[in-house]
Amino acid sequence: MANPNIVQVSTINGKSIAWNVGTSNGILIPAVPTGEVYKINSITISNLSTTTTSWISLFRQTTGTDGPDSGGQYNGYIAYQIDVPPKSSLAVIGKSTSFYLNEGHGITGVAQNSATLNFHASWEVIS
Amino acid sequence: MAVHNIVQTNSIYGVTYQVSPSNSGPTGSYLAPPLNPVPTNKVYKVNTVFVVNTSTTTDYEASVYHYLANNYNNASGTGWLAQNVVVPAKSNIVMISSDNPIYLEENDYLACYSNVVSTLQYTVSYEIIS
Repeated sequence: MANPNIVQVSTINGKSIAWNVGTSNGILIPAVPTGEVYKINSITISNLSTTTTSWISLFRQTTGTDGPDSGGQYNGYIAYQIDVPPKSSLAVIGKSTSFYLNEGHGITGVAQNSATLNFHASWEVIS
Repeated sequence: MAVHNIVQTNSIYGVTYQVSPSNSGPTGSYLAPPLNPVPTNKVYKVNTVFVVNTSTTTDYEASVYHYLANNYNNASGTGWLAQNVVVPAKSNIVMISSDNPIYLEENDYLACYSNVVSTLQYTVSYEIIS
Protein backbone atom coordinates (compact mmCIF):
# COMPACT_ATOMS: atom_id res chain seq x y z
CA MET A 1 0.00 0.00 0.00
CA ALA A 2 0.98 3.60 -0.48
CA ASN A 3 0.44 6.88 1.25
CA PRO A 4 -3.36 7.33 0.90
CA ASN A 5 -4.89 9.88 -1.41
CA ILE A 6 -6.84 12.13 0.96
CA VAL A 7 -9.39 13.05 -1.73
CA GLN A 8 -10.47 9.43 -2.01
CA VAL A 9 -10.39 8.30 1.61
CA SER A 10 -12.87 5.74 2.81
CA THR A 11 -12.30 6.12 6.55
CA ILE A 12 -11.39 8.85 9.02
CA ASN A 13 -11.31 7.79 12.67
CA GLY A 14 -10.57 9.99 15.64
CA LYS A 15 -7.99 8.54 18.01
CA SER A 16 -6.37 9.59 21.27
CA ILE A 17 -3.66 8.07 23.40
CA ALA A 18 -2.01 8.90 26.72
CA TRP A 19 1.03 7.64 28.61
CA ASN A 20 3.34 8.58 31.37
CA VAL A 21 6.69 9.47 29.83
CA GLY A 22 9.75 7.52 30.92
CA THR A 23 13.36 8.64 31.31
CA SER A 24 14.59 6.66 28.33
CA ASN A 25 13.31 6.88 24.78
CA GLY A 26 9.89 5.26 24.53
CA ILE A 27 7.30 4.96 21.78
CA LEU A 28 4.42 7.36 22.40
CA ILE A 29 2.63 7.17 19.05
CA PRO A 30 3.27 3.75 17.47
CA ALA A 31 4.36 3.55 13.85
CA VAL A 32 1.62 4.34 11.33
CA PRO A 33 0.35 1.14 9.63
CA THR A 34 0.63 0.60 5.91
CA GLY A 35 -2.04 2.37 3.84
CA GLU A 36 -2.78 4.98 6.52
CA VAL A 37 -1.73 8.53 7.31
CA TYR A 38 -2.26 10.24 10.65
CA LYS A 39 -3.08 13.92 10.98
CA ILE A 40 -1.71 14.85 14.38
CA ASN A 41 -3.84 17.66 15.78
CA SER A 42 -2.77 17.77 19.40
CA ILE A 43 0.15 16.79 21.60
CA THR A 44 -0.01 17.99 25.19
CA ILE A 45 2.47 17.35 27.99
CA SER A 46 1.25 17.77 31.55
CA ASN A 47 3.53 17.87 34.55
CA LEU A 48 1.84 15.88 37.31
CA SER A 49 4.41 16.83 39.91
CA THR A 50 3.60 19.58 42.38
CA THR A 51 7.26 20.39 42.96
CA THR A 52 9.57 19.26 40.15
CA THR A 53 10.22 20.82 36.75
CA SER A 54 10.94 18.26 34.07
CA TRP A 55 11.91 18.67 30.45
CA ILE A 56 10.40 16.81 27.52
CA SER A 57 11.95 15.75 24.23
CA LEU A 58 9.88 14.35 21.35
CA PHE A 59 11.02 13.26 17.93
CA ARG A 60 9.64 11.65 14.82
CA GLN A 61 11.05 8.15 14.54
CA THR A 62 11.18 6.83 10.99
CA THR A 63 12.61 3.39 11.92
CA GLY A 64 14.34 3.16 8.58
CA THR A 65 11.23 3.89 6.52
CA ASP A 66 11.54 6.49 3.79
CA GLY A 67 8.95 9.23 3.87
CA PRO A 68 6.84 9.92 0.78
CA ASP A 69 7.89 12.52 -1.77
CA SER A 70 11.54 11.38 -1.43
CA GLY A 71 11.48 12.51 2.19
CA GLY A 72 14.16 10.16 3.54
CA GLN A 73 14.54 8.69 7.02
CA TYR A 74 15.67 11.59 9.16
CA ASN A 75 14.57 11.40 12.81
CA GLY A 76 13.96 15.03 13.70
CA TYR A 77 12.91 16.59 16.99
CA ILE A 78 9.59 18.32 17.38
CA ALA A 79 10.57 19.40 20.91
CA TYR A 80 13.96 19.27 22.57
CA GLN A 81 14.43 19.50 26.34
CA ILE A 82 11.64 22.01 26.85
CA ASP A 83 11.02 22.59 30.54
CA VAL A 84 7.52 21.91 31.84
CA PRO A 85 7.05 23.55 35.24
CA PRO A 86 5.23 21.67 38.01
CA LYS A 87 1.44 21.87 37.96
CA SER A 88 1.36 23.09 34.35
CA SER A 89 0.94 21.91 30.76
CA LEU A 90 2.74 22.44 27.48
CA ALA A 91 0.91 22.32 24.14
CA VAL A 92 3.64 20.99 21.85
CA ILE A 93 1.31 20.62 18.85
CA GLY A 94 -2.04 22.31 18.37
CA LYS A 95 -4.52 22.55 15.52
CA SER A 96 -2.58 25.39 13.93
CA THR A 97 0.66 23.37 13.90
CA SER A 98 -0.83 20.00 13.00
CA PHE A 99 1.25 17.70 10.85
CA TYR A 100 0.94 14.45 8.92
CA LEU A 101 2.60 11.31 10.21
CA ASN A 102 3.34 8.92 7.34
CA GLU A 103 3.56 5.14 7.00
CA GLY A 104 6.09 3.52 9.29
CA HIS A 105 6.73 6.72 11.24
CA GLY A 106 5.94 7.24 14.92
CA ILE A 107 6.59 9.64 17.78
CA THR A 108 9.11 8.78 20.49
CA GLY A 109 9.83 10.74 23.64
CA VAL A 110 11.80 10.99 26.84
CA ALA A 111 11.36 12.95 30.06
CA GLN A 112 14.00 14.37 32.36
CA ASN A 113 12.46 12.91 35.50
CA SER A 114 10.40 9.80 36.07
CA ALA A 115 6.77 9.90 37.19
CA THR A 116 6.38 13.56 36.30
CA LEU A 117 5.20 14.02 32.73
CA ASN A 118 2.06 12.69 31.06
CA PHE A 119 1.79 12.60 27.26
CA HIS A 120 -1.57 13.07 25.54
CA ALA A 121 -2.06 13.05 21.78
CA SER A 122 -5.07 13.16 19.49
CA TRP A 123 -5.18 12.59 15.75
CA GLU A 124 -7.21 11.49 12.74
CA VAL A 125 -6.50 8.08 11.22
CA ILE A 126 -7.01 8.55 7.47
CA SER A 127 -7.20 5.60 5.10
CA MET B 1 3.33 24.77 -17.58
CA ALA B 2 -0.15 24.85 -16.10
CA VAL B 3 -1.42 26.35 -12.91
CA HIS B 4 -3.34 23.63 -11.09
CA ASN B 5 -7.01 24.41 -10.54
CA ILE B 6 -7.67 23.43 -6.93
CA VAL B 7 -11.41 23.04 -7.59
CA GLN B 8 -10.65 20.12 -9.90
CA THR B 9 -8.39 18.20 -7.59
CA ASN B 10 -7.99 14.46 -8.03
CA SER B 11 -5.50 13.78 -5.30
CA ILE B 12 -4.16 15.23 -2.07
CA TYR B 13 -1.28 13.55 -0.27
CA GLY B 14 -0.23 14.57 3.21
CA VAL B 15 3.51 14.58 3.84
CA THR B 16 5.86 15.49 6.68
CA TYR B 17 9.57 16.00 6.10
CA GLN B 18 12.37 16.88 8.50
CA VAL B 19 15.86 18.18 7.84
CA SER B 20 18.80 19.54 9.79
CA PRO B 21 20.79 21.64 7.33
CA SER B 22 24.37 20.46 7.03
CA ASN B 23 25.46 23.78 5.61
CA SER B 24 25.37 27.04 7.48
CA GLY B 25 23.78 28.92 4.57
CA PRO B 26 22.98 30.67 2.42
CA THR B 27 21.54 29.11 0.30
CA GLY B 28 20.62 26.17 2.50
CA SER B 29 18.67 22.95 2.11
CA TYR B 30 15.40 22.16 0.40
CA LEU B 31 12.51 22.05 2.85
CA ALA B 32 9.56 21.47 0.50
CA PRO B 33 9.71 19.59 -1.74
CA PRO B 34 12.59 17.67 -0.15
CA LEU B 35 14.78 17.28 -3.23
CA ASN B 36 13.58 19.41 -6.13
CA PRO B 37 11.23 22.29 -6.94
CA VAL B 38 7.50 21.64 -7.24
CA PRO B 39 6.79 19.40 -10.27
CA THR B 40 4.55 20.31 -13.19
CA ASN B 41 0.77 20.24 -12.65
CA LYS B 42 1.02 20.21 -8.88
CA VAL B 43 0.65 22.76 -6.13
CA TYR B 44 1.96 22.30 -2.61
CA LYS B 45 0.07 23.69 0.35
CA VAL B 46 2.44 24.13 3.28
CA ASN B 47 0.53 24.07 6.56
CA THR B 48 3.27 23.84 9.16
CA VAL B 49 6.93 24.78 9.50
CA PHE B 50 8.71 24.88 12.82
CA VAL B 51 12.32 24.70 13.90
CA VAL B 52 13.78 23.10 17.01
CA ASN B 53 17.08 24.15 18.59
CA THR B 54 18.75 20.98 19.92
CA SER B 55 21.53 22.88 21.65
CA THR B 56 21.17 22.96 25.42
CA THR B 57 23.27 26.09 25.81
CA THR B 58 23.40 28.26 22.69
CA ASP B 59 20.89 30.33 20.75
CA TYR B 60 21.10 30.03 16.96
CA GLU B 61 19.54 31.75 13.98
CA ALA B 62 17.06 30.20 11.56
CA SER B 63 16.13 31.33 8.06
CA VAL B 64 13.37 30.12 5.76
CA TYR B 65 12.67 31.46 2.29
CA HIS B 66 10.27 30.83 -0.55
CA TYR B 67 11.78 30.75 -4.04
CA LEU B 68 9.09 31.98 -6.43
CA ALA B 69 9.80 30.83 -9.97
CA ASN B 70 7.21 33.19 -11.43
CA ASN B 71 7.06 36.08 -9.04
CA TYR B 72 6.18 39.15 -11.09
CA ASN B 73 6.42 39.84 -14.80
CA ASN B 74 7.63 36.24 -15.24
CA ALA B 75 10.73 36.95 -13.20
CA SER B 76 11.79 34.82 -10.28
CA GLY B 77 12.00 36.15 -6.76
CA THR B 78 12.59 35.29 -3.15
CA GLY B 79 10.18 35.79 -0.29
CA TRP B 80 11.48 35.57 3.26
CA LEU B 81 9.37 33.94 5.91
CA ALA B 82 12.14 34.31 8.44
CA GLN B 83 15.67 35.59 8.16
CA ASN B 84 18.15 35.15 10.98
CA VAL B 85 15.43 34.70 13.57
CA VAL B 86 16.92 33.70 16.91
CA VAL B 87 15.83 30.30 18.22
CA PRO B 88 16.72 30.07 21.92
CA ALA B 89 18.40 26.91 23.19
CA LYS B 90 15.98 24.08 23.96
CA SER B 91 13.02 25.76 22.29
CA ASN B 92 10.89 25.92 19.14
CA ILE B 93 9.88 28.67 16.75
CA VAL B 94 6.77 28.29 14.54
CA MET B 95 7.19 29.92 11.14
CA ILE B 96 4.16 28.63 9.25
CA SER B 97 0.94 27.33 10.76
CA SER B 98 -2.59 26.70 9.55
CA ASP B 99 -3.22 30.34 10.46
CA ASN B 100 -0.80 31.40 7.73
CA PRO B 101 -0.39 28.54 5.23
CA ILE B 102 1.35 29.19 1.93
CA TYR B 103 1.11 27.71 -1.58
CA LEU B 104 4.12 26.65 -3.59
CA GLU B 105 3.47 26.76 -7.33
CA GLU B 106 5.25 24.89 -10.09
CA ASN B 107 9.02 25.24 -9.87
CA ASP B 108 8.79 27.01 -6.52
CA TYR B 109 10.41 25.65 -3.39
CA LEU B 110 10.84 26.36 0.30
CA ALA B 111 14.39 26.27 1.68
CA CYS B 112 16.04 26.73 5.03
CA TYR B 113 19.40 27.30 6.63
CA SER B 114 20.95 28.15 9.98
CA ASN B 115 24.06 29.89 11.25
CA VAL B 116 25.18 26.54 12.66
CA VAL B 117 25.56 23.09 11.19
CA SER B 118 23.32 20.17 12.19
CA THR B 119 21.85 21.75 15.32
CA LEU B 120 18.61 23.37 14.21
CA GLN B 121 16.06 20.79 13.03
CA TYR B 122 13.25 21.86 10.73
CA THR B 123 9.89 20.12 10.37
CA VAL B 124 7.57 20.86 7.45
CA SER B 125 4.13 19.36 6.84
CA TYR B 126 2.37 19.91 3.53
CA GLU B 127 -0.20 18.63 1.07
CA ILE B 128 0.61 17.73 -2.53
CA ILE B 129 -2.42 18.77 -4.58
CA SER B 130 -2.93 17.65 -8.17
